[in-house]
Amino acid sequence: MSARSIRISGTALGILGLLGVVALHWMVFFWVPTESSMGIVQRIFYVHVPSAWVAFMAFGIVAITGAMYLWLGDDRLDQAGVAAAEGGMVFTTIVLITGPLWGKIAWGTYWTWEPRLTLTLLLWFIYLGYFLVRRSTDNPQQGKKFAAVVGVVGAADIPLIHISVSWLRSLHPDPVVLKPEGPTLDSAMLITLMVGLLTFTLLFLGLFLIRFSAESLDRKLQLREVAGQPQEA
Amino acid sequence: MKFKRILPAVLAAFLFVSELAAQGALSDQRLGRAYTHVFVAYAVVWLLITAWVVTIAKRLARIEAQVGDE
Repeated sequence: MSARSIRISGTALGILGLLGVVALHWMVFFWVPTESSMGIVQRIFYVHVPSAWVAFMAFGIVAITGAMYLWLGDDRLDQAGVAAAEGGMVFTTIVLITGPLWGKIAWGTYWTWEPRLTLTLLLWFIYLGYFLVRRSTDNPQQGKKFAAVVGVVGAADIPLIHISVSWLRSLHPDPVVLKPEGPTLDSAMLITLMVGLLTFTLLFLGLFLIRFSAESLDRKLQLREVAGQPQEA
Repeated sequence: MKFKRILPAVLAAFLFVSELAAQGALSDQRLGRAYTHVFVAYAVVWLLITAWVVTIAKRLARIEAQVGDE
């Protein structure tokens, strides 16, 4: 698949995502009922949860491509990992900003060092480390390997974040969708959440593909430049 | 190239209009501080995603310029 066709696929997904954004805004602000105990601040949920889902998906891609890069050594896997990690950082930042905005109204404080919040902040720093270790060595190949290891090890934080609410003493609300007995959310709220999840997934996948094609082209250009330089004696 | 130039403006206009619509819908509920937090949360979401779109577009433009030079 050429970089151009990947970019076209990404643009198509991005446009579908933008249509989803319009639908999501209409649903959140004009259609879905206001939650009885938390009030309007609960509407942050419709962007907070999809952002968390996309961040986990992105870091899942980083872990899988990282593991496969360590195994196969194919540079395209590293390119995909970088593109996914960049998106993961964006969406984790969104989670870390929208959560405290909700928390200030619901808990009376922007931040508390409870397990899920702390582990999510840790995830953000792990993937900041992913970018830092890439540049930490003079040998780019070694930097890619270090980053791949960080990506694989860092993904262990994702299940910990998920189970922290039920296994540890946590202030964070319990899951309302991923429960053994099924979702316990009002049907209109559940539909809005699903539209949010689909919208954010489409936006992320679209931007991820475009970013991947850009990374791929950039590295081809770099290789061409290196090949064009005169050899040192 | 024209599309890339107008895309940030279109996104910014969309954000502005959607947040105004949100203001109209929610202000009736007279929950001032909570409303502000909802507004800020949605603004942050779309500003950060727009920022990512802009960085990708800039990177692509630079690469295309380099390809054009060769």
